[in-house]
Amino acid sequence: MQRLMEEQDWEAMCQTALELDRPTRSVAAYYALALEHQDALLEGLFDLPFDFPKVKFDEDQPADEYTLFNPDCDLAAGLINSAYHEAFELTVMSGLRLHWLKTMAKAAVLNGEERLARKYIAILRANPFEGEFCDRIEPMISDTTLIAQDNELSHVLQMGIRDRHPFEQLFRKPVFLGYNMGLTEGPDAVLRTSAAACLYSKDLNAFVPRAQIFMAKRWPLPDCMQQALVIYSLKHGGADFLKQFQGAISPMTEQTIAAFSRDVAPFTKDKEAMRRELKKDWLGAYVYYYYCENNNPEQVRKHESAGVN
Amino acid sequence: MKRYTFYLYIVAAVLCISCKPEVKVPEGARAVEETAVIYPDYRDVTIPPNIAPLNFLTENAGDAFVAAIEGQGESLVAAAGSDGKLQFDAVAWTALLSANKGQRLTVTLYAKRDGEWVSLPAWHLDVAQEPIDRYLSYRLIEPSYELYRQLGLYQRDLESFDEFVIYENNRSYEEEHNHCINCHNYQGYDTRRMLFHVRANHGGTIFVDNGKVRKMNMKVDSVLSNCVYPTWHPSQPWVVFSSNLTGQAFQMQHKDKIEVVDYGSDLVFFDVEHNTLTNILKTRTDMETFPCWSPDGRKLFYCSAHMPRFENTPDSVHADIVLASYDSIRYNIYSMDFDPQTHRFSQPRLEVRCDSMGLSATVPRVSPDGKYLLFTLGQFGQFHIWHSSSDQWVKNLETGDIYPLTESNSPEQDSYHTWSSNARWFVFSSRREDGNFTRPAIAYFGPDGKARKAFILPQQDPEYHRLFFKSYNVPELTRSRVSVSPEQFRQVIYDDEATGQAVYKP
Repeated sequence: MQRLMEEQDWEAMCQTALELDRPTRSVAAYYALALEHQDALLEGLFDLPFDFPKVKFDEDQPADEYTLFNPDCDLAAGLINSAYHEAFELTVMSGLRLHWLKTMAKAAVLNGEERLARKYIAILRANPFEGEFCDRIEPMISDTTLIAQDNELSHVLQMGIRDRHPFEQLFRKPVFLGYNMGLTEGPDAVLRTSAAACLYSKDLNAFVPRAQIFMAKRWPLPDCMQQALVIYSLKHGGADFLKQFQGAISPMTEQTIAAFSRDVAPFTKDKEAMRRELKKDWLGAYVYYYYCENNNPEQVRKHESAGVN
Repeated sequence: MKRYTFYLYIVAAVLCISCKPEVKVPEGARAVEETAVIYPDYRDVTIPPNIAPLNFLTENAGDAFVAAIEGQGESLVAAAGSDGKLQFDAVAWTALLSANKGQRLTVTLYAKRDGEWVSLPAWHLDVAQEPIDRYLSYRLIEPSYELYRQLGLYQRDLESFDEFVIYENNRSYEEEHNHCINCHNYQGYDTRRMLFHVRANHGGTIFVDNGKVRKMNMKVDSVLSNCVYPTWHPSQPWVVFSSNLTGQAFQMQHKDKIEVVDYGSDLVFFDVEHNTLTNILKTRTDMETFPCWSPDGRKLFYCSAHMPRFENTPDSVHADIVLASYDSIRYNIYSMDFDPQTHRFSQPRLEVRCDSMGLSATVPRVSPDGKYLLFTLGQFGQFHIWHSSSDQWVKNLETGDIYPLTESNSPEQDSYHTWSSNARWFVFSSRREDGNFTRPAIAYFGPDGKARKAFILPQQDPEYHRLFFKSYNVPELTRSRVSVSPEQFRQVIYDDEATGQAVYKP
């Protein structure tokens, strides 16, 4: 997935992920990243089955699967410093790897850190097969207007942070999710990603304000958002709550939720059976994801404090 | 015969590919008005007479290059191919500098273009009379965030390119033994008495005293936390440490990527012979740190930030208070007189009021001649290697004048510093290269109280610092080499059962 990402072949990334029976967390992350670059995150995110297998690492590899994709996801989410941070930590623990060196070079270019970017480009250029990347990135160091012409990097800048003093520690990890769930304002480009992050995390309390902003902007609500709002209304005011979204939620949505409720009824005491039996007909619907997928409490990451070395 | 001829052609081809011009000043070179662009920037710097060659590379156009250094009675020439790397013969360099102490050398760069030689405008190197202490210690570690793997303490012989290992933590990584090492410190520029900390696994403080090595657990009740920043008394077996509660936060937007903060710090006195630890300053609303003895051992300088909000709030929220106001926390510099008979300190006296300047001080260091106080100022906080605003300042302890060392400062981080024992040089941590990777910068400090332009630690390959992936931490000059071997250190570090325990003395 990283190789396809380097080629910016977002369609191939999506195809690769969707062909898998049980994609890992890393594959799911890169799938989401590819959708993000195609502005299709809310339309396609829940087409993927989210039942992550346990991944075993060799002794000398990072023990945490998040470290494999955090830098790339951070960068795609516009979190340049966080991407650099994660890539650098990987470099410290596992040694120089060209993929992360490129991430750090991109971060340095986006941050306007000219000499740092040149350092990384100099190291990359000494390696065979890396000339094309260097030829693409290096001119942007001295001519930052070229960034806007680059598909990948211009996308990153669009997502940019507006808050002057945010620290990573203020947000849940992984930061690309936590930040998107925690922010209270931002550019339009971030709004969809932010809504998707809330839906993925099943934090409907955080999601609702984002849906309200969609309404204020008169943006159509994708199916997953409509379903999420109906799910939310079941415990928070019902039809009264949904009035504010009148016209944006299709009558089909409530029927869909009702149909799911009927199908799920025989399996409420057996979550594994629920997911297995309903997957065929319901994969792709947010209501299926909300009740059946990504339910393993062991996979919730705990926040740790930062020590100094 | 045919095979022999074939090999002859191969050898000739290889020689041509790596061709350097003859090592002599080209005749009939045409002067051009084009600035020599060299890396590292060794133009117009003052250098010690005992420094290793300042090899450099040029980024000017050319198929071949020659650099000629002219002095009184001596000259030196180096040549380079298209890679532009000019490396001077070490023996000839030493002779040149020895013959030109107190004199100015002229450096001229020649470039060969389309078969013709051109000469670029010359620059100079001023050779000081005064040498620099021969050895520079430092820690090599990535400019990293939380994780570490392979790091070590090293000593560089400044008169050559030799670097010696003091101690390295991991040759092969084992999580159960992984440890960090930091805060190496020496007494009076002499390595016979030194210390450094070991953190995490096998933690403790390593003390060396004339070849004897031991590890001590410095954590005691009644002291805030572990012992951190050290300062050896210049002659007695006493060390003052700060004891700090430290954390860090990672900026999501600012290019000063990490904010290291203290949310509590005090000063403690350690008697090395009796293993006793005593609080000097243990205050709730002041954070005292970065202690430094005066050269005569009768005064202690340190930094302190006042935190009134700590008074009526529980300790558990102090870190939050600090993080919420990190960019308005400012440290001033104080001093206290010390009575070596009674081990008592006087009331603190304000030396430099930095907060009223809108600035914050770290690492006060008195020059060995007792005349100047060197310190780092940044816009806020106390870990200035992560603050691009940081610069070196001095206070003239005789006149009270306070001013920045403009000639040696850079637009990027200029921080942690060490004086040479003759007070004519200082080495400091600088990120002037790229804002992220720390390099030792060396600068002359004249009797006039002014610094000269700093230069980066020379390396045999002039491109070294550009490619090197570690930072140099805590540069410390010494006159001697560390005599304890890495293996001796390892034995002591890994022997947890033999770890001594510091004892609190009220």
